[in-house]
Amino acid sequence: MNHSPRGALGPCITLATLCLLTLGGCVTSRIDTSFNDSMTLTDEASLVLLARRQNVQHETESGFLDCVKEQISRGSKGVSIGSDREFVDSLFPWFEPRVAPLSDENLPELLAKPGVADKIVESGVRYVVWVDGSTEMIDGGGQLTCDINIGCFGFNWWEKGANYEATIWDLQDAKSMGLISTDVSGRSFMPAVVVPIPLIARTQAAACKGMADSLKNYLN
Amino acid sequence: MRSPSPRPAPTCFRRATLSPGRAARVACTALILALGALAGCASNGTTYVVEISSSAPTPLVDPLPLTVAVHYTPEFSNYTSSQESLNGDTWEVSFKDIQRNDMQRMLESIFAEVVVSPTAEPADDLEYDVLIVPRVENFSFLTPAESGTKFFAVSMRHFISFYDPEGTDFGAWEINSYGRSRSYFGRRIREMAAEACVDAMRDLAASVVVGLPEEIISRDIVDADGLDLPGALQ
Repeated sequence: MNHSPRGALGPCITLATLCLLTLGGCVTSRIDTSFNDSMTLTDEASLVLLARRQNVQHETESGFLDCVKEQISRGSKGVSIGSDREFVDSLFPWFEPRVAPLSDENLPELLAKPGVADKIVESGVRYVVWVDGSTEMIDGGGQLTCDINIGCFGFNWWEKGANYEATIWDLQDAKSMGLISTDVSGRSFMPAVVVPIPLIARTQAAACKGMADSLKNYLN
Repeated sequence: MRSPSPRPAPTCFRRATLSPGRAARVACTALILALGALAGCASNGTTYVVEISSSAPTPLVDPLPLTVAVHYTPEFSNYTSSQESLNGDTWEVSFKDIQRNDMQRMLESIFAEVVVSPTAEPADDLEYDVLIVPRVENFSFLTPAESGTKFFAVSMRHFISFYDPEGTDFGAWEINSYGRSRSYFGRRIREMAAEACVDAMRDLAASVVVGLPEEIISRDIVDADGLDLPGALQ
């Protein structure tokens, strides 16, 4: 039985493509942490992650928050994360963008509002992690031309920056616990010889993992 | 074994003999053209009807010892908006009774007693400290394509007019509220629009809870002694 050369080449091309896809682009990351104390979580005390929504220019992606939550709750040191929606709803309107305290200096004032301290105790949430930032395209270039007859040829690249900041507040002691900032940039490439092969830098994923790992380091 | 040659067809119906590669190219071109036509149909002249079905949570505040009368105009109670976006789509947003219900629930949380007045004029059979009349001045939104962002954005401008029991006009309070959808990818555009509207309604409710008592006090409609105002934190 004869095999055509094209038939033999198929699996090779697929394998080569898969290998290239696993390489990905280049990511450089810098994670800065500044903590005053470690966080103590028990069965009765959990934490919630909330997105800062005061900035009209950008929005912290819900996917990023979900990623950090998943990373924190994963593994042997994994902790349970409270529902941000339930927490914010139960304390309406005190954690709404228009009203929420921007600084930990306003925490005593918040906790003095009628019913707020009791509701926080009832919710079991001790720490609030405010996450602000977004992943944006920084730069890009190259040229890639596609033709329906001959396929794609050329080279494209783009660079994304994932800048996030997490501020951790202790609602029980009404103080700031610390700050984590991530500054991650990643350059993705897409060379194309007939078939375009994207080598994607997982910029946001790197920022997510960096932030989650730093948070877990300060959790007891 | 070779198959017999097909009988020649009349010229106008002659079937083009395509190589497998050319057939694939023709099929791809046809598919792209069809998708392009569909995309064109979906983004030009489509009417989207957005119905708001959820509302703001009950606020966590202590009610002030005041009796507030509120008059809801039919325009406020059944507010609908129709707006044409830049690509020619029409967006019809219906708040049904959500807006009125939200306002009533916020007022009932902020004040000890709330009565609904059938008119904006002083009524002999109603006893109250202040009469308020809310109205919608403006409602507008931006689609992701219009704003160049990843989300839908909604902005609303409301006015709340104040009257004392004698009918004296104490002016109106302007409230600007803002809402936007969370994420862009993998979401239905109508769902995102509704989410932005609900977000704006929630922002309006937060403004009312925190700001309305202060507005009433600052206009000297009632005596502020002994009133513990909710107050903003920022």
